[in-house]
Amino acid sequence: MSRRWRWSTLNPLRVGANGLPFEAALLARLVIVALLVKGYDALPGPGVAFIAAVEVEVPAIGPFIWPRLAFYLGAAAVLSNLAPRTGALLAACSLFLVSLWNMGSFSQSRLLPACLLLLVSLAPTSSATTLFRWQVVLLYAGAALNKSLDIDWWNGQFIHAYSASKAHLFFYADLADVAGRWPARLLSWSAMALEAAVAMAFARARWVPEGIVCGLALHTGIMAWLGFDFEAFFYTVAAAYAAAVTWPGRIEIQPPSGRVGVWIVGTLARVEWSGIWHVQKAVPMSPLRAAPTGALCVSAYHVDRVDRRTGAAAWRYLWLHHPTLLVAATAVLAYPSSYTPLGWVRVALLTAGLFVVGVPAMLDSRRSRNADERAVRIEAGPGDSRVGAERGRGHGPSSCP
Amino acid sequence: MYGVHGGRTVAEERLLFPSSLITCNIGRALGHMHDDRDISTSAGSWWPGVRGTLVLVFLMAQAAGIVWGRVSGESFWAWAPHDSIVDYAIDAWHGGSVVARAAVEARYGLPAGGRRYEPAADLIAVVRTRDARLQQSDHCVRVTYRVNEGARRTWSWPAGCAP
Repeated sequence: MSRRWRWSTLNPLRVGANGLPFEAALLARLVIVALLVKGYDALPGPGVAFIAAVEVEVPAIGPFIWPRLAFYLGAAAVLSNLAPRTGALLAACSLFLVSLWNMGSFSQSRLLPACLLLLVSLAPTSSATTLFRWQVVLLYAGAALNKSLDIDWWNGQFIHAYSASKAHLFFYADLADVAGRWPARLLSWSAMALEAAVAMAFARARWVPEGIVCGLALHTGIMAWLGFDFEAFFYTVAAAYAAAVTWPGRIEIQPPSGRVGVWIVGTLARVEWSGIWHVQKAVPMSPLRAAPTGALCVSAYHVDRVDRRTGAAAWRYLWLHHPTLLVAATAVLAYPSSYTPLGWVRVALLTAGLFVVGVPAMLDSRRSRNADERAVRIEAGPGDSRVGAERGRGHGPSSCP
Repeated sequence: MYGVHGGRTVAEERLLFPSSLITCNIGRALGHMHDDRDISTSAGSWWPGVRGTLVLVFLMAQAAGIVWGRVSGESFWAWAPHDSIVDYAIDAWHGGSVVARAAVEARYGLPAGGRRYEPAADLIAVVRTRDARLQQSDHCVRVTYRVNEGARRTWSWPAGCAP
């Protein structure tokens, strides 16, 4: 066990160490961070347990009950890469345990992360992504089935009752006077249809991008209407989406030349001490590769042929080909969304943007999904680029100008 | 691992044709696990197989839970979001005297009143389970609730005990 291995393994920026596939490691990280940020580390104490034998007094260790301590240990093991599978198992078991010993605190916001973490800990490396997809299928199929068998979701009663009781939906009473229950019915039917669509789309790997678009439209739409971000649930779902898509094989970032560039690279090299992102201080420049400073170059799918886009077109290309960015953007932009005017504006814009961007993404992704190689390169200035080969996908030199 | 087969990488082949998992062809599914490099696989060749089987059982148990949830009306094992607004209040009497709100909350591990977004059957199951276990003959509990702001309903344990 070399010293370098030890340092690089401990690097929190590393994703996919210790035999854990990139998607699984990313999922575990995102779920753990979502639980910690949204306060789900404060696990409830014992209550009415499902099984009488589990109903016991739990000794406290300092300020923590021991499942909470187990959760922290698991979270640390995942975030530090020391034992990601074992850490995910520990965190999952603590979440399951508190659900089992307190029926009153049973919550999908705790169970979905627990299921995903358990899959991370147990899933075979080669089929982990498939298993995450099937977990998403079960989630949405169950939700769609449950709603479709509830009359209050067909006649719009749930949405109507909720909307009428919320101060931020000040316009709903007037709307209901004019249109009756129809707005509530349409929203209910849309939710059920989108949930069923996500379940069906995730059942096939090739339809995952469409599923993500439907899922994000559903969740951001719900957030926009209800004014509530569903706490850890939404972020865990977004993490599952991120784990179900194919990520770019590598990303090359070339800072601009000059003092600023040297400073940026030097800082990155100090921060990223294990070198897994291949930050280089000295980069040889070639006159043939000179490009306007600040230009953005992205190559994707067919890196052997010249396929480059710059500026806004490059960003559009990223959006269209990598729905993962939709997930990241949603998670960043939608938070915090609860009951604040700014959150409302943000979520409304995001929802509109998802529809505008998502629909062409669906059409475009079908045309290009048979591509056998995927790579994204981003260059923000002239010069050669270094290739991050962390995921082992061999590529030639960059085709950026 | 990233070799190309018929225009697709091996990884994409596995994503596109996960039949080994669907049809429970565990042998083929587990055959993919030779590239597992984590520490846990070094414990023995049997462990990856057990792990894969556990995952399949876990996913199938969830599917069974969804079906069972429709039969039982409770959503504990069909935990996917199924929102309904339940406004409720729990009142209890012990030996004819009203039980304090704090004592009710301590007994059932729930707020004595408020709003929940899980089915009413879940709420009733919590109360019923606690009282069935304690089996106190002089204890009476009543749950008053409304689902989606519909008609007011009551449930009591033992049946009809509430004043």
